[in-house]
Amino acid sequence: MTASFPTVAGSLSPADLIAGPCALPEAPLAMPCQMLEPETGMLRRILSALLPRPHAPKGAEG
Amino acid sequence: MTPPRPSRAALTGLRALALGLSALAGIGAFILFLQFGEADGLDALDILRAALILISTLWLAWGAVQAVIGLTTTARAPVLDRATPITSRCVVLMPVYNEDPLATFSRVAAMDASLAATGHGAAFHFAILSDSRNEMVARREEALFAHLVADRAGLGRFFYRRRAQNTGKKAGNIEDFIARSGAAYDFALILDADSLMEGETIVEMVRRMQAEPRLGLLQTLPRIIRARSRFGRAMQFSAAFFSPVFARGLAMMQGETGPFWGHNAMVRVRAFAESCGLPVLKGRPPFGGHIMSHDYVEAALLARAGWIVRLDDDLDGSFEEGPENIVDHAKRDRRWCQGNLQHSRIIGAPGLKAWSRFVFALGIMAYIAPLFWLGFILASIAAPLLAPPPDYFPEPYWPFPYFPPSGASKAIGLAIGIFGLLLLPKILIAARAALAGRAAGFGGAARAFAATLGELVFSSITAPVLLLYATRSVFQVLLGRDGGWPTNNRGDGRLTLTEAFAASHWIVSIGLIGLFATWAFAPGLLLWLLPVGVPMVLAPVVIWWSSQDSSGRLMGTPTEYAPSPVMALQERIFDRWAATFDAEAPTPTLPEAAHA
Repeated sequence: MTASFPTVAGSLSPADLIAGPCALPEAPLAMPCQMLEPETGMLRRILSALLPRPHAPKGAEG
Repeated sequence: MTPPRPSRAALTGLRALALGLSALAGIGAFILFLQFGEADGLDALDILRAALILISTLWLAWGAVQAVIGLTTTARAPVLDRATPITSRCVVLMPVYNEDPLATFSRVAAMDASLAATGHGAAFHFAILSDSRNEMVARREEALFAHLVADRAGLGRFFYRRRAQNTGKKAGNIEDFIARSGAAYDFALILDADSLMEGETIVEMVRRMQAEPRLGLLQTLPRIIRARSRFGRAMQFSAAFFSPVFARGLAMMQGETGPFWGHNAMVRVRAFAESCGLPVLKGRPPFGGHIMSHDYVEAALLARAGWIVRLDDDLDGSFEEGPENIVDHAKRDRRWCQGNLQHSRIIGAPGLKAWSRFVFALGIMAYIAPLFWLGFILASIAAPLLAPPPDYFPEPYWPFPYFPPSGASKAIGLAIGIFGLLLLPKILIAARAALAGRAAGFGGAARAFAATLGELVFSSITAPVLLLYATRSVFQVLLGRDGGWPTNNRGDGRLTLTEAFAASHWIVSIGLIGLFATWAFAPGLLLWLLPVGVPMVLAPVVIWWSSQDSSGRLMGTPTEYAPSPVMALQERIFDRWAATFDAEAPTPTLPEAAHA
C-alpha cells in the first residue's frame, strides 16, 4: 500500500518521514504538575488543626 | 480592542439574579407541592417528594434562566485591527485515537487549504498526535500522513508522532506534545479527531489572542455537522438552533472564567504549560487516577493562575461531529459522567475561583439530576401504599361524610410550571429567531418553528431512555466501576432492532415493572407516568428508529442548506483520497467499537 502513492522527498518511506523531517520539533517546555489535592487527607488535617502541637525549640539567645 | 467585559459588580449582580430566579422557581414548586400533599395530610414521603421537586425544578430553572439571559443580547465580535500581521507561531493539534485516518487527515488537509486561502497558511503548523493502539490503524495513519504531506506540500509544517504508551489519554497526549515541542509555539489550537474549522476563524482567533496578552484560552462554540440519522439530526438542530442562545447566557455570566470543552479552542502555550500540568489523583478510578474530564479542570487552573478563559460565541466556522444513535450517545455520556463525578475530588482544590467551583458543581448536578426525577417518580408510586386511609368521618357523631379538598389544581399548576420551564426557553428561542431573521438559515420561520416542535416531541420520547442510561452511569461510577476510554464511533451509526434490543432490554424491564407497579399501587398516577413509561417499554424501537437515516427536511440547519466552504473542501479531499486508498486497503474495523 505504501509504495503506490507519492511520498515527500522522493525516496522517504512514511516511516522514515515520521522519524525524520516530520518528527515533532525538539523545543521542550516544562509543564509542572499542579496541586489539586492536599498532601494529607481531610480527617488528618482537621485532627492536626485541633490537636495541640509540641512547642518548637527556641533558638539560642545572645 | 478586546470585547468590553461587564464590571465585577454587574457580573455578581447577573449571577445573583440568575441564581435568585432559579431558587424562586424551586421554592415555588416546593411550596406548591407541600400544599398539594397537605390536602390529605402531610407525611414524611410528601416532604421528601417536595425536596426532590425543589432540587429538580431549581436545576430546570437554571437552564431556562440561562436561555432567557442569552436572549437579551447578541454575540458581537471585538473591535480589532485586522490588518495587524500574524506574528505568532501557531500549531494546530489533532489528537487521534484509533480513528479512521482518512476522515481525520482529510480534515487536516481541508483546514490547511482553508488557511492557505486566507494568505496566512505558512504561519501554521499541524501536529497529528496519535495515541492509536490498533496497529492496522497506526500503519494506515503513517501511510495517509505521507500522502497528506505530499498533497499539501507540507514538509516542515506537518508533524506526526505516535506515543508508545497513551498515559493520561488525551490530556497526557497534549501534555507530552507541550513538554517536547511547546517552546516552539506561542499558540496551539486544540482539536478533536472530528473537528473542522474555517481558516478565517483560526486566523481571527490568533488575532484575538495577540490582542489580549492576558487571554490564556479562547473557546469557540462548535456546531454539529454531517448528521445523517434522526437522532443525529435532532442533536445537530438543537446544537445549531438552541445552543447558541444558552451559550450566550453562559458567556454573559462567566466573565473571565470561561469554559474549555477540550477541542476547537486555542490556548496560549506558555500559560497552558505553566498552569495545566495535571496530577494523577490519589486512589483508583473512577474517582482516582488520571483526570478524565480534563478540560474543565484545565480551564479552572488557567483561571486560578490569573489567565482569562473566554468563550467567544460570535465565532462561526467551528464544527464537530456527533453521535448518530442513542447507544453511542450513552457510551460517550458514560465517560463524561465519570469525568464530571470525579470533579467532586477537585472542587475543593486550593485557590480556585468561586465560579470554577460552581461550574464543577453544575457538571456534577447535570449527571445526578436524573436521579432526583427518578426518586420523585418512585416516591410517588410508593406514596399511596404508605398514606393512611382517608378518614371521611373525622368528627365523632357527625352523620355526614367529610371529603378532603382535592389538591388536583395544585398538581396541575405544578406540572404546567415544570413543563413551562422545559418548553418555554425553546419556544422563545424560536420566536426570537423568527423576529431577528436567524430562522432564515433554518429554512424560514415556519420550518424552524415546526422543527422546534418536532425537536420537543423527539426529546420527550428519547428523554426517559436517556434518563435511565444516565442513571445507570451514575450508579456504575458510584459503585466504583471504571468505564475506561472507548473509541468514539464516527461512522454510519445505523442499528438493527436486535442491536437496539441488546442495548436496552434492561430499560424495557424497568419500564414494564414501573408501569405495573403504578397500575397496582397508584392507579391514579398511571396516566401521568405513561409518557415516561411507554418510551421505556418501547426503548428498542425508539433506539432503532432514531438511528435510521433521516430523509425529511425537518430540522434542517444552516450547514445543511449551505455547507461551509471548509466542509465542501474536506468532502472533495476525502473523495479524492478514498479513491486512491480504499481501493487498496479498506478502512479497518475498530476493535473498540462496542455498544454501551
